[in-house]
Amino acid sequence: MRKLIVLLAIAIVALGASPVLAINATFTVTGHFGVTTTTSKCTSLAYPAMCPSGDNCVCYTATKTSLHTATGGLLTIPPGTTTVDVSVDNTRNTSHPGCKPAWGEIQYTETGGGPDTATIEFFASLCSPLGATLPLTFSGGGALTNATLVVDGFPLSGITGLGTATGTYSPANTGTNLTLNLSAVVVP
Amino acid sequence: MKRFAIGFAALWFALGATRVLAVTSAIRYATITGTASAPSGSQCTQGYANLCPSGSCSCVQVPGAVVGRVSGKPAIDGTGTADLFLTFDNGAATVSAAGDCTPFFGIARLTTTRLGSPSSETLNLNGVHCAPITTADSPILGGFGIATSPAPVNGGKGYGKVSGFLDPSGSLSLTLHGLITE
Repeated sequence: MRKLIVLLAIAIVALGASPVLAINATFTVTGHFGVTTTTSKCTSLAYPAMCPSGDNCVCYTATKTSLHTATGGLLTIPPGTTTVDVSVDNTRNTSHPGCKPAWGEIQYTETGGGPDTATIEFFASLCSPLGATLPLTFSGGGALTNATLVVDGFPLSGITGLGTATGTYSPANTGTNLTLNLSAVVVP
Repeated sequence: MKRFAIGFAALWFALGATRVLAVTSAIRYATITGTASAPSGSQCTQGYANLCPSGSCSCVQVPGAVVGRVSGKPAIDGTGTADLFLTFDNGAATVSAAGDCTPFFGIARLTTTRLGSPSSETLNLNGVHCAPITTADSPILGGFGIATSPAPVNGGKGYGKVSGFLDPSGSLSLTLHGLITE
């Protein structure tokens, strides 16, 4: 009973102080990024489905992904399954070549029956390479809209965050060709 | 007469070749600073800014912004002024307890002097505007491209990245850099 009270007190302190306990964290996703053969937007996740229906949107889906946090050390992300969908609007290219609007979503679920989950939504400008040997780039921002993660040893739900979304993409048939970073302020 | 014709042809060829050689692609830079209006209740209607995928948008205008150079870097379009129209897609904002990031679509109509001659270009812009993250400023990140319509006058073509901030006070500061052919 005493242990329960102590744990409860710790949890209340942690939750009550949550606006102050903002954590700087970088969520990084890497994987292979391949465009689907269908010439339409992604529809399986809500945010990428926002690409305008009347536009020429295409769906990029990443496979063999991994999500891990890089900074702070307070957040723990165990091994899990990560899904990445990005709808890119070819109609609204700023120029030819240029920068296209992209609506993306990342969903993570811990494997092995663990409780951890995370959803990241982002909007970015996917720009053509600025040099012959350079990759395409994402420049934008987004949010950790809802997550259950281990923070400093304690599993907490309802975690959200806000940050910049940057990354690179190099068209290739195989191999890791996608990197996405959400550098965020996370509020437990 | 024959010598004159040959000389004239050689001169004409040389001038033509000079023009071809003068077209170069390079990473060029620009800054845009100004003061934004309060958001209106609906999307902007100007060109690329006339886009509101979610159906819930507001329009912010930045009239008479200052177009400047980045010290020591080649300029995108000289110096002058710009009128900006930015549609913020509030219905597509990514929401968190720490704040939101809101997609935007916009244009910047540049009226400048480039290489001593009047120039005009319209930039199409897209990206996000977020609540303050690590500093007091509200960051903007995205991309731009030089529009083909209206056609640039004494300008170039190209695209690149835009970063900066638009604060609640209305203070706007953007830096653009991109691969520009002139």
